[in-house]
Amino acid sequence: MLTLLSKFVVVRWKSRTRYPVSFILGIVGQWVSYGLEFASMWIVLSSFELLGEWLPHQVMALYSLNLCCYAGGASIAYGASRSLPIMVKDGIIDELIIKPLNSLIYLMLSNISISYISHFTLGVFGVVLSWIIQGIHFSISNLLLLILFILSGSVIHASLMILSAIPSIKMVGNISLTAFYTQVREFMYYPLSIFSKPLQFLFTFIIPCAFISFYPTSLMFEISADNFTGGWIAFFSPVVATLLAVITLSVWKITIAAYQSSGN
Amino acid sequence: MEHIRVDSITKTYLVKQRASGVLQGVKSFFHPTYNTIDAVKNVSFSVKRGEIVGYIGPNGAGKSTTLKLLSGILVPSDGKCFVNGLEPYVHRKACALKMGVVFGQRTQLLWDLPVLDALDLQRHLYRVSKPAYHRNLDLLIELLDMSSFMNQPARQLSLGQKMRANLAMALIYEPEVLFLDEPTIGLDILAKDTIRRFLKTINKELATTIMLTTHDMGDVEALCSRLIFIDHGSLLYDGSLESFVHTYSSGYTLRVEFADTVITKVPDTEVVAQSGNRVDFHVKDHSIRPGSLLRYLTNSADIVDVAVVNNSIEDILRRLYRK
Repeated sequence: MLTLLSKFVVVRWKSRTRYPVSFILGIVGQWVSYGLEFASMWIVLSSFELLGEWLPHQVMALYSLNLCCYAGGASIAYGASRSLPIMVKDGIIDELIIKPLNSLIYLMLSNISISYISHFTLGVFGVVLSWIIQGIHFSISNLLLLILFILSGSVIHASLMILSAIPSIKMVGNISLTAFYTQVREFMYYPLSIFSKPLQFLFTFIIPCAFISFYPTSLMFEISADNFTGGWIAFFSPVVATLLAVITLSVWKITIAAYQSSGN
Repeated sequence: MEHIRVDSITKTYLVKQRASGVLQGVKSFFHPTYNTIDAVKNVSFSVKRGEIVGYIGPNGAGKSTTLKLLSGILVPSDGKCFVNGLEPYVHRKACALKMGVVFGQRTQLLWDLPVLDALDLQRHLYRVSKPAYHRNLDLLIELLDMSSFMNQPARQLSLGQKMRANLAMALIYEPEVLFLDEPTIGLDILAKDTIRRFLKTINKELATTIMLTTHDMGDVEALCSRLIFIDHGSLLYDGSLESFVHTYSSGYTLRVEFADTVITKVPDTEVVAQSGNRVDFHVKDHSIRPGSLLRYLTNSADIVDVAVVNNSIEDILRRLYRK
């Protein structure tokens, strides 16, 4: 599987870099775009002493970790989630089903993206800066924990992207659910504790986005979460990620079994 | 040995009825009604290893649906089918390794990358060893005459080149069964000849079982020893090509070229083709003798030329499709 993954990455790299100007402009554009968003958030947050119980650099850490996880998840799932409704409409989803590989894995591999370098580097920059301001040690254990949370958060992002796109297999032309995911993602830029209890419950137990960056950041920065859980819940991020991945694969399998194809 | 077995397979679709008018539209939104369409109805047949089978029928007959059931894309509503002893919609991955599928209007190539890159990716996907890959690649390049465009990206290829490349994609891992859905659609005569020659060669050299759907009877005549005819989801004929022509060819066709006045209404005949002053009259079951028909026509109009035309498969199918 790793050989296949690296093969697909090479193929996608070759495909994107066939148009070098477009590729470079894309990366630079993302840096500028997210960099400006980063900067504008910093300016706005600096006007407040606290957001809930969160200091500005802690909110930046939250945003940055979310950005890293989004980069990881989107690299493997964004392309798949955007192309799936189009493939269903054009009847070319058949191609996925005749491959000797799980059709979802093939869909993700064949749409893997290498363009999220900008998101990831900005995210890492934000996390590192926040750690320095907070005085968190760059110990092996802390770094391993960070890597674990980035991996878990990436899987959660990827799963949510795919889950929002799967209904298009039954409902031809569905785009609106993927837009719904985009809106939900924006809630994660801010500490969950500033939202109402029903929303906290929703994003913890129903759409578990809070495990992407809120709980991990709460734990790493030792912020007492003003909700019904403690910082320890962050250690469940890998469990939530695994569960969500299993659910995504199961839903995909059930939906594909009922696939009707299109005429020829 | 049966390579493909289809046991009373049925595929039914539920199609929502479209309501006319706003009120009916709102009503159908909350209480939709559905029509049941049997795309494939209780079809059974088997194919031995190494056979080339033509699977023909008019548009909407159920040909592509059958191929999609056999390739595991669709799950049957009833009945079962087996490829290499496995149900393809249950054992998708195992079947995919031994099966090649080419849909005439679809491509598996990488849009921006050379054909060679796509084939190399296919090697990893299908776990083809390097020696086998290079051996197969050399053979496919030679048989499909692909050396001139192996390093060109797919977006720059002509339709004929794309089809040859897609065939190479489907065969690089030496599948035992090949499903082709209209493989020569849109191709010129030379490209068709290349592909037909290629398919005959791999069938002979590798004993690849081939099942193809096509509207081009040239494909059928060049490749298939066996024909399966399907219409409205039901299997109507399964047998040799010669027997098909014999079974469905009845009577004769008289091709007449009129000088000026063209007659089309002649008792006990059916006009099967007309082009300008030329009319093809088909007489079923020799109900009128050719001499009598000719006398009738020459008494009714001036005739420039006349010929008795052999029933081609196309003529037979034209009559069958009209029914």
